[in-house]
Amino acid sequence: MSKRKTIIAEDALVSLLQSKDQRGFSILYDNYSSALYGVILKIVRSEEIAADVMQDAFVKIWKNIEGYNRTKGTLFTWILNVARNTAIDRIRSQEFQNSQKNQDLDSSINFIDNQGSSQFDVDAIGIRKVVENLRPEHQQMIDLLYFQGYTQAEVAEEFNIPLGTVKTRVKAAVVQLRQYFLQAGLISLFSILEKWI
Amino acid sequence: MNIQEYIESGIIENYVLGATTAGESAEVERMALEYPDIQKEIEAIKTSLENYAIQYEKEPPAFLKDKIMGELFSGQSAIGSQQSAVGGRQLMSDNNIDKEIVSLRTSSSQRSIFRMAASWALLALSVGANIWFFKNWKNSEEKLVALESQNQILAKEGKALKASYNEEVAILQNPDFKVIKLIGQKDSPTSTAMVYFDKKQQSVYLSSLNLPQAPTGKQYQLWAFVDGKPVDAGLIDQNGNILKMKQFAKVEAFAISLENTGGSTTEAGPKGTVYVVGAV
Repeated sequence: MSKRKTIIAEDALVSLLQSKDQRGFSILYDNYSSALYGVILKIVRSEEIAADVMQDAFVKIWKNIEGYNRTKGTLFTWILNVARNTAIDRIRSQEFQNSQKNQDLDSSINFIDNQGSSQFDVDAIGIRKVVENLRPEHQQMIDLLYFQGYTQAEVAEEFNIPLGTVKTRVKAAVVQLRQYFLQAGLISLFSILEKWI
Repeated sequence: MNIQEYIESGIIENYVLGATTAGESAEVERMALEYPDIQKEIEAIKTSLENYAIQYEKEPPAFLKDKIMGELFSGQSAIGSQQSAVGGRQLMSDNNIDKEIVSLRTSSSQRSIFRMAASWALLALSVGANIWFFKNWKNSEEKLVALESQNQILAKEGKALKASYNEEVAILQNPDFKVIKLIGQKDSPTSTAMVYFDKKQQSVYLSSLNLPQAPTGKQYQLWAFVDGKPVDAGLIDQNGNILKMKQFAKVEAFAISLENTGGSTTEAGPKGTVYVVGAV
């Protein structure tokens, strides 16, 4: 299917989806599938499982779209959470654990990194920029909590880091991310201005 | 409850990361409803994390869309020819939805118009600021030039004054000079002036003029009385500084009169009022 994204206001897309219009789904998929797929792949670390989780996630989105409410946040926030939770549920499931049981957690973290560098090389320019701006221990916190669904206590226990340190790192990581995207936002604002001057 | 402390506590990060318990999440949501600052904080963190997540975006395998749509819409035809297969209700509303898409596309182009407008506004703001700064700079520049020329004038005046005082001091310290005080006459009793007269060098200097401002068309003139007759000793065209006048070897008295501009001649003699007189 085409990569082309349809420019559509979120309200319109939501009302298309909530009226169960197939075109709404098609637009939703075209516009958001790469973002969701990237996140799912980052969590499950297997293209095969990622495709399966994608399908589950989109089915859930389609079936629960009536429950989506603008006041709770953007459509993207909502579908990203559905995809993320579906993926995290999968890696926590017995089936997944069995297939991965030869790997302990430490090596699986390395595995992410190694795989990440070969797998995402086309789209990696953006990631590298952020990762360069993020200290490794901060990135690890975000990845464990956001992509692996760990709680802070679990991270502390699993990696033998004091809970206080985990909290500090999470806080610092989020601050760093915010600063980075604020800068990126300013830069893009200037590039827009440049175009018009 | 201190909102800042609550924000600093790190619970909001955990909430957005999905690492809070159900109870904690409910509390954060309750707080967000109550305090807009907390809501803002949640939105900002959410946006950052979503931006971060988007960095990992990757094109899914091409077959996946058809597979998912097949699962969801099995029994219905593919997207291209859906109109024949979808239900009547949808068929009826299709037109409306198309309109809706069109109108919402417009609204997205309105957004880009808004962006453009924002860019122009920023540009205008920046141009405005530049004009303001330029004006200020120009203003300062003009003031500076004015001050510089004023300074030059003052320096010149100071230099002239210094030269004239040096001259006067030199005269006063020279024993050959005789100092003659010219005294005010009946028309102007308070007027005074000083003449320094050196017989040997035949030099006459006029100084310390204390005369009323000459009216327009009028000018003061110094007279030297030689053998009882007034002789033109020079026109006075400056106030304050020491003036070198015409040379004389023998003078009995000096006087200053107010004449028409250009003065009077020795032959005609002083025609106007005599202001001050002093005998040698």
